[in-house]
Amino acid sequence: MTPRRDIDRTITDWLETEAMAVDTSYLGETLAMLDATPQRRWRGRLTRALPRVPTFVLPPRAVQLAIVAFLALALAAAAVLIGSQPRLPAPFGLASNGRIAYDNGENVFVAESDGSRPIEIVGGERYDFSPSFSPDGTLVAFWSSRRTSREYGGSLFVAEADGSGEARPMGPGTILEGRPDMPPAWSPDSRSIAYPAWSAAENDYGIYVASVDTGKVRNVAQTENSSGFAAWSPDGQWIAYREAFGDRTRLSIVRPDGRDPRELRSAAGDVDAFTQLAWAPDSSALVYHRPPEEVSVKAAIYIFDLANGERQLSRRGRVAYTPTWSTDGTRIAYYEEIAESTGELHYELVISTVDGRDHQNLGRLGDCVALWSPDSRYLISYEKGCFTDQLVVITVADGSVRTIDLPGDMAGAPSWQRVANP
Amino acid sequence: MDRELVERARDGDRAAFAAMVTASLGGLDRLARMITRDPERAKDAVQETLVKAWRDLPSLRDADRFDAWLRQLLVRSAIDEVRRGRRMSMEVALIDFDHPRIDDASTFVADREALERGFRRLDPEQRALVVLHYYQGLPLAEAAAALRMPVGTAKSRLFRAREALRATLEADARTSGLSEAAS
Repeated sequence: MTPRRDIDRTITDWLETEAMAVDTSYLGETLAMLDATPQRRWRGRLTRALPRVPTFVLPPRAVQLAIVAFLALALAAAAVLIGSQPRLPAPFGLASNGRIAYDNGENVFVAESDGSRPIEIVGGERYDFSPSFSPDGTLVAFWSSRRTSREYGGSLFVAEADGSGEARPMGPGTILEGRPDMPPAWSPDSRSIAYPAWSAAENDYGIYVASVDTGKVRNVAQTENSSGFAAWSPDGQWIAYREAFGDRTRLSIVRPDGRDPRELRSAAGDVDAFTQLAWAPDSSALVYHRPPEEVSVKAAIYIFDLANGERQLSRRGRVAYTPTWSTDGTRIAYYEEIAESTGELHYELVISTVDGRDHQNLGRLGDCVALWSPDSRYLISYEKGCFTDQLVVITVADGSVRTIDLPGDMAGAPSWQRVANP
Repeated sequence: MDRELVERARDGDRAAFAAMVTASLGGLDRLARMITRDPERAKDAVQETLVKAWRDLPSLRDADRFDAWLRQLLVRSAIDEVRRGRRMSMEVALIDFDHPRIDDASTFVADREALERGFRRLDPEQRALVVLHYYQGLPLAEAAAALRMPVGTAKSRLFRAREALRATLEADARTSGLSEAAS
């Protein structure tokens, strides 16, 4: 048996021995091939992307006012409706902290926020993973798969957050398979879920929306390949999604019924752009990371305001990744790359105001990504290296840290349940 | 890679790019072999990468990051090669019996064979994550960036790749334990 803690070393040792095999005998052939290849001319700045769909333009002022009035009425109606159901939190914004869902690569668990009393949420297949609480905190969506290592083998399931009842598959009777472990995006009313998937029936990639009530699934946007990634706006009006197409990557929005697709932004190359996508709680803007230059391998944080376009949030000249928006809408957390005097790099957690004027480095706290608690008082992250049975909970006000011991190693990202304020 | 060389190549200097190719070919081939597990596919991935790099080099603003950019191009090409699966050649693994890091050589050889089998069963993106994280030593955030996926997704995939490799090792250990008991 290979002990749990030795597996990382065993894999590294094996790869180092494998690295001995190398062949450079095709150097001449390669150079000849390159001699016959012309260089591309400079294609201009990022803003000169070729949109396949209309670029986003705000509607006339009267229409804007009508939309605002409609939204205000809808919000008031939602408030009245929610007021009649006191056990549920508002569909977005601040809420109280409930339990935490996580997976160990094989099973999904929901535990108290200190890690105690874990219960297993059982899916329909062998492996359950990537759980995500609904905004009202009553349901958990997760992927379930027969296989551990196939790219397109998962189905989306929804279960009660308290573990009662049976998990229900989305899209029964169809041959729709998702991209397991891409996080499903809940609608603010907790009745629908958007996710990137491939449909065997349609032989097409796209963004699909599943109805929690009926299990029916429909396509709302086509994507050229499997690079999709969706995020539902808190006001329910838009689904933002990422797509690689040809030699560019773009960020678009579409109505939940598939109407009105609009490109917001694009970046050159099949690059790491728009993969960590989050809406502002008031749905006015999106935050993401993308390369700052035409072709680059490092990222910076940007905010795309639907009214005013894009601006950089992270500090100029700094490399920054994985932004997440606080539930109160006032701050954004992200990780910034710091170069040490030895040339080594490490990541520090930064909290920025939304206007980008104040960036507070909290130091080497957590790792990879930091998610906000529903009440915006804490950030939840991983221990160094990310593969651990400990979650790190950071108190935003003073940077203090406590750890949550989980019963086993955690595979993917956790999800924090929103519950109604007491 | 030398910044001046990159800038000259970016300006269309073929000799400069040829020097860069000569210097980097071994490392690229090594990385591509580790992901594809096939020398022919590795070669195709490397050549495709270098053609793309030469073609698109004028649009690379940050010359200091050429190496990381080239590595990203290679990882994508290697993944595409595995997906194409157009050849099913088997590369005989070279076994280093004198490898100094492991005391029990026979255990290590058995582990290597098991790891090879387990690794071949991983999907191409999982293979790339394993190589980038465990061999190249990239933090998970950078490995995720190289594969254009959210960190949580990369974490989940790498975790399952790691568990699959461990399961293969443990299954082998059980089998060899039974064999020894029988004899």
